[in-house]
Amino acid sequence: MATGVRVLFNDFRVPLRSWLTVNSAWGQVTGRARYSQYPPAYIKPVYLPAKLEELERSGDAKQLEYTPVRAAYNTHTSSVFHDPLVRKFTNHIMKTGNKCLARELVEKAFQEVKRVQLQKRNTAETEEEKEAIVCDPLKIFKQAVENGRPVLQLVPIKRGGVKYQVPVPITDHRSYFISMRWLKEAGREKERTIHFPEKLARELLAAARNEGRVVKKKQDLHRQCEANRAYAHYRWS
Amino acid sequence: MTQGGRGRISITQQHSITQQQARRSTPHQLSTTMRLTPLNLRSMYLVNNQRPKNGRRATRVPFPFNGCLPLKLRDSVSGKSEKLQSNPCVQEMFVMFSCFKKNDFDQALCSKEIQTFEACHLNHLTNEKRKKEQERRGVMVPGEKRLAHKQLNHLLGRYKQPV
Repeated sequence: MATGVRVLFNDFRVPLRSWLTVNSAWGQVTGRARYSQYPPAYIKPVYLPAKLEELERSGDAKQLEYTPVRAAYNTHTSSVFHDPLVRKFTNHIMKTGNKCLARELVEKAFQEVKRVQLQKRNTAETEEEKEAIVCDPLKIFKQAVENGRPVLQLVPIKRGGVKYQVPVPITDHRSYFISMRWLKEAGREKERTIHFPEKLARELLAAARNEGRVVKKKQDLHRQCEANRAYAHYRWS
Repeated sequence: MTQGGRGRISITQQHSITQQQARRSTPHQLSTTMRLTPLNLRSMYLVNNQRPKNGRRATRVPFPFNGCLPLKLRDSVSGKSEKLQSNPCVQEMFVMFSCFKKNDFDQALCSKEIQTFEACHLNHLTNEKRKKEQERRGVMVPGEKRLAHKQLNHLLGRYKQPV
């Protein structure tokens, strides 16, 4: 599997002139990684074909022709099957660096999602009902993650020797992380006889329908934030 | 007075101190030579070399002024207590909470409130970032009410205290 990805990667890279690569946040001077091996002039590679095309269209690519670029990761691929969110989720599921297994689990879960949706579609009676059923597991996954994202988080803040759980707004990045973590945990909470992909598929489908454990967890968090709203003034900034 | 020999000796010591003070009366030396224990401190003796007439102990001397810092304002401020206690978007948060409560925590019905809240937070973050960047570089913004310590130092350095 790894070699297959590598081949795709190499095949796609040559015609797309992938060395013409750019950080998405190009132009902004952000904080420098402290132990980076690269000098700050080096920019992160852009490997997504859509972003590359956009760069070429906007003319930014011309400016960056002679900018030094960091080496791309092994997982950065221009494959049409690549999705950054799925890659992230796979990495969350991965234990002790066993990416092969993690990817297999995610793919199996997606297969299961597809199977369930197709079955539903085939048993649906009218044409409109059939049209309404989404069979793309990627779409369902994205919807599930979107539905699980919390708006707030609780942060312990010490005031007068007492720790208060203070509701504070959350960044987009962290809310995605929490949503995916909840999905993963929901998948792991199961009976011994059920396999992880199966349970994960069920949770994904439920979350996409705005039901299930993940959505419940999110609402519980919101409820707790609402209960602690009196402490909202304790926030520092 | 019912005092032992020790007390008397100390009184004579204080005598010599007052004489010394008369000779060199810079506040710094005073603080080093003076003993502040209540038993030995007899302000009457210190002032005019007399015992109190009412049979009581003399009062404590007021703490001597010790000029350890120069008596003028510096041309700089420290940035220690700069952390702002700002609390943005709390109003939006409360509006969102009330909407949540009304609709039993259904987000779909409160999308407008959520959007305003998130926009407010994002706006705050970008503002903070911009402000921090300006403060880091010491850029002066015309009409700014609260200045950062770097900006203040910049101004104080330009208009120094007259010596």
